[in-house]
Amino acid sequence: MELVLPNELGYELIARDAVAAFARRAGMPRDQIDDVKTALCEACINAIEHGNSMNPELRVQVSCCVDDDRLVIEVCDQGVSPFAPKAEPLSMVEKVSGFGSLRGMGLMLISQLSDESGFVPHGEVGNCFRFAFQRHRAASLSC
Amino acid sequence: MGKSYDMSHEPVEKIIELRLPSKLGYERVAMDTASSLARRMGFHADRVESLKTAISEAVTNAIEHGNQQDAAMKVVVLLTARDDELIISVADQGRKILNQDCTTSSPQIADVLDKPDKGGWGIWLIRELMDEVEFTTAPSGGNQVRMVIHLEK
Repeated sequence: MELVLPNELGYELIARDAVAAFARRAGMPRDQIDDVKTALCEACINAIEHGNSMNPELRVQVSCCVDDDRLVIEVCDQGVSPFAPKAEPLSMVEKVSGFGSLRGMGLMLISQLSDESGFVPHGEVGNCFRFAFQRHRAASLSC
Repeated sequence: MGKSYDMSHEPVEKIIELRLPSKLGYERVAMDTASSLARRMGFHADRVESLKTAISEAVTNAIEHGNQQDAAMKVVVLLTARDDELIISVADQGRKILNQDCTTSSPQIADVLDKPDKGGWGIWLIRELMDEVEFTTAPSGGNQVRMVIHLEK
């Protein structure tokens, strides 16, 4: 399944509902779908705000694939602002304790909620963030 | 996600594109995506339910008939949000071309009850539930249905 969205805050909620329906069809349990929804929103907001720098002319693409083992989601932007990781990012505990801005926790949150996550080569201009969830039930491959 | 205007104050449209495999069950993804958008545009709950039914019928037709349930073929759903309406386009890749007579006829319940699958109500339902309906050929050469639902404020 592929979904292409306007680069505007609020549309991550449409993506969230689409991907949740996809995960339900794949037979994933409700609590795991809640994690998928949260992670998906964070990834989309990152793409809209940072990757695409809020440019309304750009688009965000969400791709979902499911096989017997995993649900894999990719969120790709058009990369006005390439992702540049910080050398020593503050942990969530440090941020919550007041040692830094409360913003910027999206990637950490996704890494906590999903079974694997990270930026992957895209083949096109822009950032592509992939995160995956181990499945509890089997199903045939479908993308 | 409120009203959107360009610099000349002309209403602009926002487009969401959804590509689904031709497997039954994926119509639920289209239904939930469209209803999520429609709710945020301000459509009343009963209109959202009408939209869900219509898009379910259109996508199911595309999967079952247009693409003959070939999972490698895609169903493309375009949702175009305007200030005063939502336009939904559902296109298949046309393994089987829709008979145009089917797009205008109304099924008779006695005839349908004689059929083993009791089907054949989809297009009639779509016409009943949507404000505008048009059957055309998609850019890919497949079947395309364009549905419009007006936003009453």
